[in-house]
Amino acid sequence: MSGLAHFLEAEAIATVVIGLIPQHIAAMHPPRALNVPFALGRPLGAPDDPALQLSVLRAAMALLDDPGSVPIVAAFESSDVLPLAGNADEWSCPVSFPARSLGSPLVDRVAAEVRALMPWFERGRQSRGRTATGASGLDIEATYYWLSEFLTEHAPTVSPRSALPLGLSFKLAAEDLKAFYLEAGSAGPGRSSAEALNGWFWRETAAGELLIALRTHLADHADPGVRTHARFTLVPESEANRRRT
Amino acid sequence: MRAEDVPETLLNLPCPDFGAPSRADPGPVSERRVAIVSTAGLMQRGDTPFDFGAADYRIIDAESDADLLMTHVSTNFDRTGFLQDTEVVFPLGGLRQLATEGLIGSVARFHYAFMGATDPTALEPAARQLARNLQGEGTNVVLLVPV
Repeated sequence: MSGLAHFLEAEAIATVVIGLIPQHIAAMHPPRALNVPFALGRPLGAPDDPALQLSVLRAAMALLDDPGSVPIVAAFESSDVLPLAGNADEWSCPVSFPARSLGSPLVDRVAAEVRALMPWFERGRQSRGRTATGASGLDIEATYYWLSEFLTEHAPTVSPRSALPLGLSFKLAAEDLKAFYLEAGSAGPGRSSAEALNGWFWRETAAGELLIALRTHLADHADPGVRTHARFTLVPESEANRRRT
Repeated sequence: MRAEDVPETLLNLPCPDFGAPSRADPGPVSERRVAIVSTAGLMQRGDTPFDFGAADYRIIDAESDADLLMTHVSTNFDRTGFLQDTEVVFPLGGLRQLATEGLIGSVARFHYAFMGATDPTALEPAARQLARNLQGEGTNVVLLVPV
């Protein structure tokens, strides 16, 4: 981010960086930066809070009028409480999943969850007017079936989108599956928090169990793209560390 | 993030030395045409997703109805905010509001996205090309938004 600011400014494009990691801003000193106290993934503060988002933008654009010498670094002070944790009591999964059948295949349990969540996913899509799922090019049923095949002796060897490498399709399918759950989960009543949603996905759903199983199962996969995504981009470090301890 | 909350893994990432910063003139407020440049790995549905090491960018047409998707490779940041409200990562509506308030001149039609996990020095050729695109579109200010 700071490098882009240097490159663009050298080409006579004025820039303002929103800084999420103050130590990186201090080390790479882009010309103008507004450090914000928000979590990674939320540079403008909080979803569905236009007043806060606008106050960040106003503070960022104001740096363009600062007559001081560059680098100019300011801090955005927010009195809003913006932890990812939120209030755990305010949210719960909008559906009760079918009870686990002993010995039931993982893919069948994911299928049951997806069926249960589908009305809430559709409700969320309608209320937001969009969905962030679908980068893999697979519909949701094809997504979890295709991913599950990596756990079998008939693991996929070609990408469903022929123009994309197998490893990238694998990563996109995993993100699509997760996004489906998170969009459905946040469409229900109650105010959802990032921590509650992510904790629910990784610790309480068969889909989370599937991705964790793939991480382990594919750590030595022959395809370097699949192997690398399985090892490093499938399960958050925080969740992987939690499971190790 | 607050400085004290930044995890060790991020503090240990190499930070290249880009030298003393240049200072471009943003011009008077009424003539500032602003584009967003994101490093969230954003793309519009139908475009090509980002993968490891991607050093190119995607164009985001503000006049298109195509959904905005996130194909950043990292899984170590929150995505629930983006899933609920794209403005938390890509504040196009917010910039339009600033334009109506007269705090900027206008909002560009075309915006851009890189994938921020790539070595920042590798982005230079694409960034220089991007600057020419921006100039050709009359854009003279960029809001750089990380993820």
